Formats: sequence, structure tokens, C-alpha cells
Amino acid sequence: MSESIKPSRKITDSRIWRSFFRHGWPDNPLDRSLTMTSNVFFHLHPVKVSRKSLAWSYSFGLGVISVILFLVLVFTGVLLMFYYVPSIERAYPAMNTIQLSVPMGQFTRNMHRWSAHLMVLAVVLHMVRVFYTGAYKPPREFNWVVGVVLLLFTLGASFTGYLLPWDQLSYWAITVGSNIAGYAPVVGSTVREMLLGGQEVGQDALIRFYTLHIALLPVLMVVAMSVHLWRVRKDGGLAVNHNEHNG
Amino acid sequence: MHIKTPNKPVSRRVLLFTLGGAELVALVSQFSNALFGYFKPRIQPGSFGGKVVAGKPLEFKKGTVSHVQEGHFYVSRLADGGYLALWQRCTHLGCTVPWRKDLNQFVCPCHSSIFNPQGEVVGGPAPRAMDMFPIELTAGQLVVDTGNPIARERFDPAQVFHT
Repeated sequence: MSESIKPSRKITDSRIWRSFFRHGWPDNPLDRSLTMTSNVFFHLHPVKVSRKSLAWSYSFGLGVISVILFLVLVFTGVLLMFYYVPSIERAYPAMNTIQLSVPMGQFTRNMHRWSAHLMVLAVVLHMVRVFYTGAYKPPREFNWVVGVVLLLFTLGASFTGYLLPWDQLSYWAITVGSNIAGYAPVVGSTVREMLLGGQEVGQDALIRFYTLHIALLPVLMVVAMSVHLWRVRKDGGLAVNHNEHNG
Repeated sequence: MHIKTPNKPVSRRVLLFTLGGAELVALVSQFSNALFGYFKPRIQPGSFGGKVVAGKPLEFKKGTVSHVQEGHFYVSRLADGGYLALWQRCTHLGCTVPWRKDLNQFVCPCHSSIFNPQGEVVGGPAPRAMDMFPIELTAGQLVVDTGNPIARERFDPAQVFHT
């Protein structure tokens, strides 16, 4: 055993460490690429990004903000699920318990609510940014479509979550909202009935909205988000205006 | 013009793929149909969505409107003694419309649609008269079929149920 080896090397050279972190410090282009492509969490990210697109005013980071808000919503949402009961007798009292007697309950619920509002805002602004920078143009036109699907999922999650407190505001908002859906031609009234599980907002509507909110929509969103981020990488990272320095 | 009409026999491969594809389409459509049935709203008999007993005909006084809560409708007995079963749901955006005895009108709290005791629109954004349910007399009781709402543009004396 040589005394010159640093103790930290012992850890970083260990088999366990190497099984998690396969590459050493990336000091050449190949290793830098491998750091991204050989990691499941990083591989959606482009290996190389344009220096220009790193300026914060280029994209305002709105897509990243949306992802972070989504993660906050998943985390706080799972915490809320430990107390919430989707029954018309117990939903509102459960919400009250979370707000009034659970330690950090009010903070958790407020985080969930504010992040939900902010996520709708961030997603819409992200769409506006993409539109005004022309980033929807080929080869990124397919990713725009995926983005529209993600917008609909976001609004769907926002709408279904709105019913869950089961107070007067949420009850009548969903009554009016589902009736607006009922005005859609041909399929309108069927969509409305299938969504509510009946003619009016009641227990059947609450459990359906709950299941959509906590299971179906988040899973669909994770799938669509993965495709969305992967397409960004496949389409060559953020769109860059190559003519900017000319004009 | 010369049109070729090759009269080739269908190969075994094409035939099997076509049959297999048709089978797959049948399977998927059968499954989606079953899934549609799974999600279709269910109705408990005797409650809203099925046949609801409103009460004996003479419990309702002439010229009054009474709420039958479990059936989500009003029984409006008109001055001539006839009955109407009006769904409590506003025809605008579905809010529950309360009966205002002092005004002798239904007034919707959501967007101020106003209906008269016949269910006709008096004011507000409602596009048509309140929907009604068919009434029948069974064993001396008024029974209202809440599963079959009848949409109507306006009031018509033929809609009134007489015992």
C-alpha cells in the first residue's frame, strides 16, 4: 500500500462506486458524451448545447421550470394522498385536516395548489416562447404536436384536481366546466356523462376525477414528457438563430 | 387504353395476414366496446336516473312548486290542476336552479337565468325551457322517470300530465 494514494481514491476506485459512476471526470469529448449517453437520467438531454442557447433570456428556462413544477407537484401530491379520501363525505374534512391540523400540511397543500397554477402559466408561456422564436418549425414540428398534447394533459390535471377539495367553488366550477364540454358537437353529452359517471357531479364524478388526477394523467404526462425531451435532443437541442450575428 | 387485369390467385401469406388482421381489428373493437360499457354511468333503482316516487297527487296544491330532492326535480302543479316534473338542472350550464316562492320563479344563481312555473325561460342566458321528465300514475302515486329527460324549446299544454 502506497501512502500517496488519497483516501477519496479508495472510494472512487471501489467496485461499488464504479458500478454507479462508470466514467471518471470527463476531460475529453468522448468521455463528456459518454457521461450523458450512459446515464438514464441524463440521456434525454442533448450531449452538446449551443453556447448561445445558454443565455437565460434565450428560452427563459420555461420548459425546465415546467418540469421542476411537475416534480414538485408529484412530490407534494403523493404527500397529500396519504391523508386525502376521495369520498363526498370525507373529502372536504380530509382537506380541512391537512390544512389545519397536520404539521406542514398547509404548506404542502399550498405548494401543490400554487405550483399547479404556476405550471399552467409556465407551460403557456413556454408555448408562447417557442412560437415567437419560431422553434416549432421543421425539424421540430412533431415536437410542437407533442407539446400541444402536454398542454392538454396539464389543463386536464388542473381541471380534475380542481374538484378534489369538494367545496362549493370546486363543485360548481366542475358542474359548469363539464357542461361546457357537453356543448361539443356529436360526442359532447357522452363525454360529459362518461367523465362525471352520471348526469350530475356526485360521488361517481369525484372518484373518476381522482383516478384521472393521481394515476392516469401523471403517467401519460411522464410518457409524453420523455418523448418531448428526447425529441429536443434528436432535433439538435434548442433551436438557434444562426443569422443573428449577421443582422 | 390497355388495362391489365391480373387474375392472380391470392397467396396463402396474403390470405393469412388478412384474416389475422381482421381478427385483430375485431378483438380491439370488441375490447373498446367492453371498456366503454365499463365506464358507462350506472344507475341505482329508485334514485335519480331511475324511476322516483314523487308522492300522492293530492299532496301537491294547485299553483305550487315542490322540490323532490332525491329525484333532482320539481313537481309544478299548474292552476288547472295538471302536473309537470321539471329537472332542477339549468339548461344553460347545469347549475341547480332554486325555486323562489317570493318571486314565483326559478332563479339560477350561476348566470341569472329565470324560468316561470311552466319552466319557460323568462330571462337570462338559458337557451331553452327547463327539461322535464315523464310522469305516470302507479298505485295512486306519481312516479317520475328521471332516466329520460325531455328537452323542449317552450311550454306546450300537451306536456302537462293530468290524473
